[in-house]
Amino acid sequence: MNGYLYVASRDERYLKAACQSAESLLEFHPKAKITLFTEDRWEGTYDKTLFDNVFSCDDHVRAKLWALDKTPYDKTMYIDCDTYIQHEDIKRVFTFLEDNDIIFTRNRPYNAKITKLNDTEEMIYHCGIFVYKNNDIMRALMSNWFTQYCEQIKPDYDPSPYPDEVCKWDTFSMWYLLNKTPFANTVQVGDFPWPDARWNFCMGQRPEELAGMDTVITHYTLDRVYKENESFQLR
Amino acid sequence: MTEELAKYRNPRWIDKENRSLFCEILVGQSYRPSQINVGNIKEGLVNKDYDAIMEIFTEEEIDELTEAHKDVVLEQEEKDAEQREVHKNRIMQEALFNMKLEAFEIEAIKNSQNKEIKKLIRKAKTQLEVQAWVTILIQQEALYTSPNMFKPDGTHPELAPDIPTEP
Repeated sequence: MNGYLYVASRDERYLKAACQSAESLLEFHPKAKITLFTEDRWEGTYDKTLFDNVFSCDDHVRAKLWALDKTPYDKTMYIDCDTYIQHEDIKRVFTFLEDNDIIFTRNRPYNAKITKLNDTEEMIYHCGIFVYKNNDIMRALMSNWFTQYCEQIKPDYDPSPYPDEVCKWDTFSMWYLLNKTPFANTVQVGDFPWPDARWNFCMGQRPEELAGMDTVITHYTLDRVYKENESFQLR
Repeated sequence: MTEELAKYRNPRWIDKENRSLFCEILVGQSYRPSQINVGNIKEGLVNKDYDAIMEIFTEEEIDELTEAHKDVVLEQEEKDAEQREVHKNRIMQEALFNMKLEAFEIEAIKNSQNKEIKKLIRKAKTQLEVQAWVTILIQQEALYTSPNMFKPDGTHPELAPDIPTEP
């Protein structure tokens, strides 16, 4: 069985965003299986019927990484909460995995805080939306993703030769695992089909990147919307 | 022992013919940007800093620095243009996105069973398109699905609340 995974922790706004995203997902894929990881303290404040499973998680800043290896699905699409599904093609997403263990969309350097680590190394994959298999390698990778992230946010962690600012990004943890550890040789990584932008269309991206095709997922970055628009509807 | 800092650095022509150049000049322990304008050589004017710079740098070296700077400026202009484009796209996309969210806050739309029009609202590519589908859906809800959302006189209870009558 394949399904979609949301993780909402720390801030109730993420839970509300996850519910809105799940609602939009069900509109385009009524049979979608959806799992939510969230905190017990919000029990009773949201519509649980949107989800097939609701599991508890801690209020960790990266509960997302902790939850990934606990997926109940054979193939999982992890979706950030601050997203919005808007096309039926969302149903087809699991067919894109093929022989890969995981597929990502690409970062757009012009629209990302940091992608280039130096002249030769770049964090090319966007870690807000991806599809992965539930096999031994992937469970190990996901578990290590959480461990690596927890390690790199410790005050005494030295990311050199990479800049200090990478420490706060889980994208860096994944890049590190896929490039600097034995996972580099064991994990089969692939891309969403072209144009990958339609699977994770982040605010600010060039519409031309869609190559005339419809957006499947819009990704809006919750913090930014809250900061800049007091009247935002996710109250 | 501290290394002695050069008095002048990064000179580049603003107007070579009229002996006008940009240069960073050491003042105290820091470099300050400065523009040196001497004037056309025919005017016979002199400038102490200009002369000192020309003793340290050859004309060719300043030519090279000027060319190199043009590339830096060009690169920066391209980056700025890209950022302006990202910003413009973001503003437009966020406005569209917010409008869709607002649409789904409207009770008649939230509770509507018309999945097709709801999908069209979510898929809309422009604000105008969102507005159009929202209008169609609300109208349809009012006329066919929940006609009692309008008062008998045709006004909407939320938009035209009852005006209190004389006590």
